[in-house]
Amino acid sequence: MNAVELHFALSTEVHQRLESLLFPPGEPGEHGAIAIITPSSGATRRTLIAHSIVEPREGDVTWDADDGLLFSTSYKSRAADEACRVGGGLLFVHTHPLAMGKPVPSGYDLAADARDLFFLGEALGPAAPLVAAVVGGNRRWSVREYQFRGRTKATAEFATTMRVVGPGLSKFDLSAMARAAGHVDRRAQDSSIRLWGETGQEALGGLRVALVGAGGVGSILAEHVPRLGVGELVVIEFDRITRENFNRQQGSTREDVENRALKAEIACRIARASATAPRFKARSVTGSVVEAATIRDLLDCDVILNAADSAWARQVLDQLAHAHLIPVINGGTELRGEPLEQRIVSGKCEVTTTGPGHPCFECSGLYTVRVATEAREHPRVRGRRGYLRVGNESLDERSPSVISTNALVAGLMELRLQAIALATTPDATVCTQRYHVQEGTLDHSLVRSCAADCPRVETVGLGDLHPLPLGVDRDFEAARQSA
Amino acid sequence: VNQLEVGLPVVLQHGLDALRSGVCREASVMAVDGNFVLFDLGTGALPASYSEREARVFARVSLDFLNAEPYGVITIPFLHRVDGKPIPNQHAGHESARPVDPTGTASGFWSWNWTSMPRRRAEDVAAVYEWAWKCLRDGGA
Repeated sequence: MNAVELHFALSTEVHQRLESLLFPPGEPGEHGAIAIITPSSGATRRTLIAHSIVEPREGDVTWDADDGLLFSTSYKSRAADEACRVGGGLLFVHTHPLAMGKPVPSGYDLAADARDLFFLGEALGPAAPLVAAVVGGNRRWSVREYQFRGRTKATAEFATTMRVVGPGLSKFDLSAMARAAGHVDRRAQDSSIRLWGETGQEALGGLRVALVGAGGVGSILAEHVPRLGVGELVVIEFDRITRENFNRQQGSTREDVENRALKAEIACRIARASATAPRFKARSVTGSVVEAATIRDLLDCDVILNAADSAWARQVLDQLAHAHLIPVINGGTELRGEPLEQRIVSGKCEVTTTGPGHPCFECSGLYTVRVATEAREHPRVRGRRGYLRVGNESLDERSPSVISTNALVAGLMELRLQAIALATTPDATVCTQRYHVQEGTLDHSLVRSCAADCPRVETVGLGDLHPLPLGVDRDFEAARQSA
Repeated sequence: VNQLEVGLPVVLQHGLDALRSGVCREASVMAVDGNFVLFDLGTGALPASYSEREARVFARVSLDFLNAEPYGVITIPFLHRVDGKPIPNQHAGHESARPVDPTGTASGFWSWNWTSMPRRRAEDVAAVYEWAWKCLRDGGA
């Protein structure tokens, strides 16, 4: 564990169920429960995910004047069995209902941790996270992860941030016992503060956003999202600017074209120049999200904006969003023109979100496994027309595109980011929004949840335990070879 | 070959076991090429509609089987119909056949989608044998 930050995350569904167990109406006093914990390992952030609750039965959770709150042996045994089945660790959580300040574990709590978590941890193995939490009467959490070296030698690291995910995102600073807050520039952000208040602006400032793809749509987001006031942007892209994509690469210059500059670095330059949040940070990653080397950078982020046009990337991000509780907002355009008639004959622009509380991209119709399979092929045999490429067909089958529709998609993605992070437009959080270019109309799909047999539901909160469908990005490989 | 098998994802190792214990005892790994593995399904007799009497058959399966489908069948040699008609979706000298045919002159690559092939568990890999031969039967029909 070399991560700099320690987060605690759970889906809204698990959070609500835990709250109902911890604060049952009409039953004052201490209550508790055990949950299964899975790790999510980013490059600089480790997140402890409350994957599921081991439902307590009658008599499983009792309170004793001498020993405080106790979990029955059978409850702990069931929890250990479930942790083994899932492959995760354990979270012991209980309430201090009278605590209205920062909840602090009592001497009883620490003794119970050393006794129970240590022994169960011995059975689960060294990789299993062992976590304890206290929730105050003000519903504030204190979460600590243990490393035991024998029963009497334990070190505890406290989580600094808690994320509740799905369909929105609520981020809490556990040390300040408040919503996670970034820095605000009241003068520069005055107009948006008038929309969502300083608290909303602080919430944006507390976000670390990943931008996947810095092309037509991504380059616009690279400027707009920092202007909105997010605190940090991580741009992931391996492509370079060329004369052929200059006409829709916002912020790039002719000098960038001459230098064949990396799009990710251009995007970061534009982001830094546009940011309104004080102490804004931008970082570029030359990589592909379908390769293992890049995934840890994504796992450091709170929200992912996907502007990469690859079905395989969408498949990876779809699974990552559910397993690691990181919402992904996808945007793209598909246009077909008739150059001789000087008109667009068909086209649509779509924005969709995936993650807990949202239908997965596959159920939303954003990709099929067949197209995601095709995307695993080398560009020499793939091409825009899939497997039909033979003989001497041109490799440069660039899809028609124009900056105008890219800007529309970027705008819709920004609105969705606000809906998720600030709940500005709750009715427009869970859906696919689609702009029909021919008709000039915007509608939304009726798909609001996954199909009954969708496998994504089973992967929510599995974190590192869920294997992502990674491989070798043959486009990135070709780019590496030509560099 | 053993080294290639050992390096396969667990799902495909189980799938290969299922293939061997079922319909194709001689199944082996011929090559790993990019994000795909080429399974050697051995040599079998062709329908009479082909000029060739037999072919060695390879199935091209995604290394990420379950999340991605198999794609493509390769035969050695390149096949011809007795009636002289071209075989739909059979390509000579195709890039994807290079691991088994470096010169690009001895094989036929069949662009073949496996969209409705079962893909829920590792053992479903075993179905590639039947699907590959169905592809060849259809090509001659």
